[in-house]
Amino acid sequence: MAAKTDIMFTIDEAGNITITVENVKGKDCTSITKELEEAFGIVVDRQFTSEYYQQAESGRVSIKLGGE
Amino acid sequence: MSHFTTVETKINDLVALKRALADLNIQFTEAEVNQECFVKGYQGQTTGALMSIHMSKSYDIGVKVDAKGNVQFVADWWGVETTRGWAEEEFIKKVTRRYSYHKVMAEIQKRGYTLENEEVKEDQTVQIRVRTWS
Repeated sequence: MAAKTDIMFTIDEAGNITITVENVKGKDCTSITKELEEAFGIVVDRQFTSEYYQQAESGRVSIKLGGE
Repeated sequence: MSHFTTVETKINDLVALKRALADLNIQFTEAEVNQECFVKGYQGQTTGALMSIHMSKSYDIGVKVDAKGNVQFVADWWGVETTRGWAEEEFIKKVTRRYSYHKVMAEIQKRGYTLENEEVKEDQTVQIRVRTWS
């Protein structure tokens, strides 16, 4: 059965993008965000919930595109 | 002496950049294949670029692409600020913000994600929620 994954893109005032992936296991989460990171730019911050290494459910990646 | 100064960016998608400029009501000209268009600066000086963004009657911002595929903006920023009222940082911020929006939307469409919700918060942060099945 197919599993649903929710992805939230947050764009701040300076144009920086934060990607939050929900309802997904750690390793899959990284593969989803990795493709997106490559499309957008450099990653400045990567956070996972504490359960990441034990079947985590969400992860967050911030991508910096704007100025300082 | 040249008055043109180059600013590096992480912008790498010209389609999303053009959409961002359109949102901001800024006119621009694109060069023909294998040609360059004129970018105007101090006292009528010009330089060549892939695109010329027309900020005022006498000042443009040129768009160049570096070896990594990232956009560089080239301009006489003093002239742009004096005639248009936009400082370099303000231009970069405004363009990057709209660029990021169009870049996210393009990636969502490309990957076939389903758009669930789009919201602009009080602090002007944009939140886009999508769903995918795996």
